[in-house]
Amino acid sequence: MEKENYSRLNKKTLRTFCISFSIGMLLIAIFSILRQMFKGDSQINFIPAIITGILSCYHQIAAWVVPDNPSLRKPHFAIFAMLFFYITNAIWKIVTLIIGTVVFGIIFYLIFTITSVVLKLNKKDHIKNKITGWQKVPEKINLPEQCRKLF
Amino acid sequence: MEKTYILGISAFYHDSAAAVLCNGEIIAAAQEERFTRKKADASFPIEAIKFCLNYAGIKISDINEIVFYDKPILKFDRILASYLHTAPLGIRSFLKAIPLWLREKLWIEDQIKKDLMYEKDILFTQHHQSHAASAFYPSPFNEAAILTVDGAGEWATTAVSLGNGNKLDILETLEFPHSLGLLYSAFTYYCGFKVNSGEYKLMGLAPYGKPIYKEKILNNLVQVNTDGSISLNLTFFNFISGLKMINKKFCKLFGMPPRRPEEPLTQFYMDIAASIQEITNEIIVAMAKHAKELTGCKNLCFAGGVALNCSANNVLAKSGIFENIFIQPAAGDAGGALGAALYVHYALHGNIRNPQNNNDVIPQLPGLGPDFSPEEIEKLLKHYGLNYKKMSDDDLYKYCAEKLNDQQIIGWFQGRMEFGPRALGYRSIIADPRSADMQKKMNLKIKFRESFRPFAPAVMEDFADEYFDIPSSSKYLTPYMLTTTQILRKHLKNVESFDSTENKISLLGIDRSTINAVTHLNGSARVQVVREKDNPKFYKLLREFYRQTKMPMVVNTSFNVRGEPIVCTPQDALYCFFASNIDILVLECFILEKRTQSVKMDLTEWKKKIIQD
Repeated sequence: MEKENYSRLNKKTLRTFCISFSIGMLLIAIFSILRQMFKGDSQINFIPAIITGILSCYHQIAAWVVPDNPSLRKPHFAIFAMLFFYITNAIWKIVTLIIGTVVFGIIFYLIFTITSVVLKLNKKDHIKNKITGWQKVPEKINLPEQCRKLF
Repeated sequence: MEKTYILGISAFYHDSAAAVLCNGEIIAAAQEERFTRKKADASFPIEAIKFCLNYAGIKISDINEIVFYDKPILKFDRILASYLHTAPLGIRSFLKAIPLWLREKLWIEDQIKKDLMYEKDILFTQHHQSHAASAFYPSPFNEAAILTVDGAGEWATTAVSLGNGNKLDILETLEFPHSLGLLYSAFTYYCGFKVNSGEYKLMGLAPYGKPIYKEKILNNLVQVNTDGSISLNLTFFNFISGLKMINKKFCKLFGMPPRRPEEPLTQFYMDIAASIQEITNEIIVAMAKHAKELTGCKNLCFAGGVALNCSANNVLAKSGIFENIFIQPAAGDAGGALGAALYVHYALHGNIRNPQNNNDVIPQLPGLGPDFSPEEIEKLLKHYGLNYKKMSDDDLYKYCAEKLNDQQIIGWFQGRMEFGPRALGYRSIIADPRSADMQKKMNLKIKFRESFRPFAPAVMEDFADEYFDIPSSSKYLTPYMLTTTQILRKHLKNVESFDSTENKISLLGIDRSTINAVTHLNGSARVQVVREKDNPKFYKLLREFYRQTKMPMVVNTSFNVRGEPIVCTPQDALYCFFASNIDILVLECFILEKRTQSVKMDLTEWKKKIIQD
């Protein structure tokens, strides 16, 4: 009975570890992409610190909750998790740069392209050479109050 | 009376700048590049803003309104539409541009508020409105047609406006991608010069060539209509979707690849330069005719980057379409900061404008930057342990005139720094224009730049007509070095060489006139007419030089070396002095002679900032 409990706990621990790791990574990826897009760099500070902390403590906590689990008592597992995370964190810095600028860009690009096709944006007429020659400027454009508007 | 301050800002494309008005009076204006020492710096002009506030003696909280010189959302709209049209070809350019837009350019309002800790609303004028305002409001005209031509603003690339009193209305526009500025920049790129800063080199190269590709360009690349509107054949250009201005089809048309920046300049590229310059001249004249028809005005204000094309300005002035032409010296994007602030003061707030509608008055514009007291300069000279002399004004003029006559080259640093790309006697390098080899010497040993580049004369107003054929409509252009003029035939020599079919670079050594150092190969010169009331110190120097030599002019070129912005501070002037072969440095009332200096300045950091253009 006791053995079964240990076994179940191990499977559960492993599964939770994998899920939390995956979610953590996903969070980092999203966070980094957003940071890359809005701040212009891929520094990862806040999120990885928390997740690394959680992961490195996870097995210590588990070991504390279930003190007789032999695999959880081994401290090298937590160190390994932490090292693994720092390495993956560094890899993610590079990956998210690529994701941020390429994958996200392509998705963005496709969304705009599709939107343009669906909405048939008439601004394309400029570039399709449908709008050439002198264009009369509507009166409202010259209203000085227009400069209070962003566009 | 309570003072109202307006701060104008231009940024994020090229030549960012700031300008501050107090009750409509221009207090200060400067380009960011002069402070950061990065040529054509496009970053948020925080240093220029700090200078403007300091000079006005105010804090940011004293500013009543901040106005940005274009509407970023409309510009973003144009950029997205361009990518949509060219999808999927523009993916590389898209991936480069969009993150920059998303993290910076779309949040200009937030950035201004955050960086300046400013809490009031930010105003946004349209790009061409800012250009038009920068030319019209400082002009001496009550009513004028305004032509603004540049690469691209939001959607407009060219605009014809009408200025009347304090009102300014844009009447008609040409819209992206049909742009004279972009067409000229495409050829700038093709000839191996940097887009957005090398256009003046293309202009300087044009007289070395013959316009033999003009028909080819008109038949294939650009359709010029009788009303001055143009239509580009986009199959030859890559600027909509790509990272380059032109494509392979463009190169195939001329049968030559784009010139690489440091490759020798062959006659082919000179002929290309001559061809596009002639087309530009014709388009500008056609556009001006259209502006005249549309407005019926006798005065023209001209602005936008294309308005800095001196050769085209000369053709425009000689065309006689307008009686008077005015160009504000910072006609490019930097001037947009000034224009945006002026627009808010006059058009938005309806303040009364009193244009100096008197042909004898030329607006005092260029000296809007920082100045430095003798105490500040002396402290710096002592800090470096430099050998210097202090002189009274009269002794200074005599000394400098003698040294110029001895063929020495002088770095001339006086008063407030110029606003705009031209050095007009405040931050200038000056020399004797009579010398046959002065052009070569100054290009190669002082400025470290291409040998074909011409130099400009600064002439006393009293003698301008004795040397140059200046059309009456140019009288508001010549004080700011904004037009070329023909040197009178009586001063020219070896005129037959002007039409020579030889490679004209080889003709550089030929004696062309009595003012050889400032005579371009076609007998033209980009003259600056100096009046005593505009710049008294510079005028008195010219007068003294004339007294000693009977020559009423000097060579006047910007105080910098290639790749460096014009010097701003005495420290910058010292770096440039020690890095080049300038013989004498004049810092206000202080004289430094190179040969008497035992101290060597450490130029390592300075050199790192120089990026060859």
